[in-house]
Amino acid sequence: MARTTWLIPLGLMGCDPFGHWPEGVESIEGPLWDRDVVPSADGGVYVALPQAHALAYAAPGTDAVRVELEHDAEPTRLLASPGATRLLAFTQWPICTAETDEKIELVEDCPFDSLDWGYGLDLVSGTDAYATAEVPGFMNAIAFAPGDATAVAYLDYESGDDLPVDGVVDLSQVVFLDLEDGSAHTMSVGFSPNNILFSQKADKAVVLSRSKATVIGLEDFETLVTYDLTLDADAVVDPVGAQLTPDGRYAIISVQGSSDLYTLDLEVPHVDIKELVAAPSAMWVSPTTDYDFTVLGYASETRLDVYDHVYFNNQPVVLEEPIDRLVGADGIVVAYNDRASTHDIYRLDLSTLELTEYVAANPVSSLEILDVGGTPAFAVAVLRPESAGGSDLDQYQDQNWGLAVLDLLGDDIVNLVVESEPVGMALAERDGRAYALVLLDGVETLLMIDLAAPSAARQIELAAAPLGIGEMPDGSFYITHDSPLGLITFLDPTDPSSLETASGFATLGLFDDYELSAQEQE
Amino acid sequence: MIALLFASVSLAATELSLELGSTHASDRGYSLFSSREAMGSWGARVGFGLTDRTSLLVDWQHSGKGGEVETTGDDVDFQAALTVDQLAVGPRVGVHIQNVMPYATVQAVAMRGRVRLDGDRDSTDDLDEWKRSALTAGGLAMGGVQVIVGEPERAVRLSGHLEMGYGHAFPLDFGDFGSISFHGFALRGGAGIVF
Repeated sequence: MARTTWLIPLGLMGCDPFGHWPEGVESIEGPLWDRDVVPSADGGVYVALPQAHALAYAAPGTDAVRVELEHDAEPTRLLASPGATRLLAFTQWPICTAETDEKIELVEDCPFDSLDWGYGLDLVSGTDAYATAEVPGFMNAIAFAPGDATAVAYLDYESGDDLPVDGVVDLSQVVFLDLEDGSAHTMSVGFSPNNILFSQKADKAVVLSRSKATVIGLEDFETLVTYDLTLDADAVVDPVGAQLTPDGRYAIISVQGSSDLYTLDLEVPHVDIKELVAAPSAMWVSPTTDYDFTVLGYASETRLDVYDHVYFNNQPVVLEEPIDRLVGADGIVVAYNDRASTHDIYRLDLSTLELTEYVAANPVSSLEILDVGGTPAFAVAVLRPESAGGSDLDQYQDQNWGLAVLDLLGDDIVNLVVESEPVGMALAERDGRAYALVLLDGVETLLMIDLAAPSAARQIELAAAPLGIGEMPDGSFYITHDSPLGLITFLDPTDPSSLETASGFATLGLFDDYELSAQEQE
Repeated sequence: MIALLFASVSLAATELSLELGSTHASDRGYSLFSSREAMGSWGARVGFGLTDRTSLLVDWQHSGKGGEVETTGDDVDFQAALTVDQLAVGPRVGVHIQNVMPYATVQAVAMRGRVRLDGDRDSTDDLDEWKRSALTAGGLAMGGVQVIVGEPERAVRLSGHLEMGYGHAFPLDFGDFGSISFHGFALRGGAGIVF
């Protein structure tokens, strides 16, 4: 017996009587992955992993890769440059300031009141962090200049992020960044700079701050001219909407709660203030000189004001209902109201200023326009439920979420009822055909609607309930799912049956210790 | 007299015991499976008598931890399970004082860990179920006491033991998941037979 008993534990190790799940319950703070992923021109997406304090790159068909950031930092916000050729990651890293002879390596071993943070902005290409820019920790937003060479970091206080204050914070700062090498140039331009415009040549920027607009040359970061938006030191002028005219000569600025429209002449510096009929709720400035207009809409007035960019003469257009949203495309502007219970959607032809009215079945929640062959051909609106009224069928439609497909070349509108709230919508043109890709809350299918025949939607099975959809630089799409360990579907609309996935990436580094920055420990 | 006391039980006997154990685990990765800083385990050990004062211990311990992991700020939970098997082998040296035997032992440890993570317990596809396994090695240094009940001339007698000490294992490396370390205070206790 003694000679054989040693075989018992070996035998038990070989079998697997523990196939069942343990019955414990544990909890951790926060999700394993941030669903706000950022696409890359390389075909994958960047994902922040809050539990692992890491950044991952996930692509279909390959294992996820951890992107090593400077200072072993963790990403707090991710942004893609235009064309998604670079990732800009706001980062932070833990520093222990405790004075002790012992080497402290883990965050958990550092006294709480000795734990400090470093902040930066990492520039990533592919899976390599190639530069780190010194950006104050309170900044959380980026404006990109045309050409993918320059960007500006600033504070978007409206985002609701925590505002880390380390010593002194200058809330009038912006940081100009060279995206090639990460070199940074900090400037103070006025309190709360939060709206930054770039000329199309990317040779100058207009930074709007409270009661001030500053024009900065991007060659040497010199202030070219400063415009005071008010001469009264007690008055506060907060720009809310601003655009440059396509020739780059004028900056057109609307102001919060004011019926004044500011026009800054950037060539012959002066400010022109126009008195509008009311405070505008929406402004659209043509991006091209083909239709060189600024269009203004009002939540309190049933009109659009159309200003040309030569003499800034107004040509008002009368509506039946007020609007608060404007969406523009080549030669047209579509106006709707996403707050009121109104149903009207208007298309304004900028070449004739002719207005076409569409009536949606329900109030509009959001709207997107799709070009087909370079011409804006369709608009798709998400319709939200409203209080029921009318006949039984009207009631049914009123009580449900819906979609409206607008033919922008004619005046047709098709109203559809959908199963649940749309959580994501993208429009795509492939081979001359137009599609809306719609995700519904809790529904594990993707609706692919041919906009030329919207009544028959194709349903594509998904691996899990979706959360959102975004477009990749190559025109394909990614779909994020409500999956705790990470799941993203990649979809090519030309071949919707061949879905690819990246999954499990949120497990990357899940067991790793939360270490203090190695560089700070040296 | 002294010779009689020390000779009342021979370590040359064979021992078979069932055990409960605990190994310190203050590892961040382990906290996903248990909020305690120790990994409880159960198992069995066999002792092979070599001489009157020495024997060879072979000890196997198994632990299964985990369950549902709730994530604040996230609508969906996931399942996590960690199973660890330890096989420890090493000599034991002790002295007998009537039926009580204080002893010391050092053991080499082979450790196998298996991790399962499942994002959707209801589905069986490989999109949301992930497994990793790892092997590592370590050592144990423990002191303990064994008590043997029954007349020395009986062929089979009952025994009980309690031992504690320090254990250290190299991290279990679960690849891209990261690693989990077990080191620190170790405790074993059990009951069985000596024959």
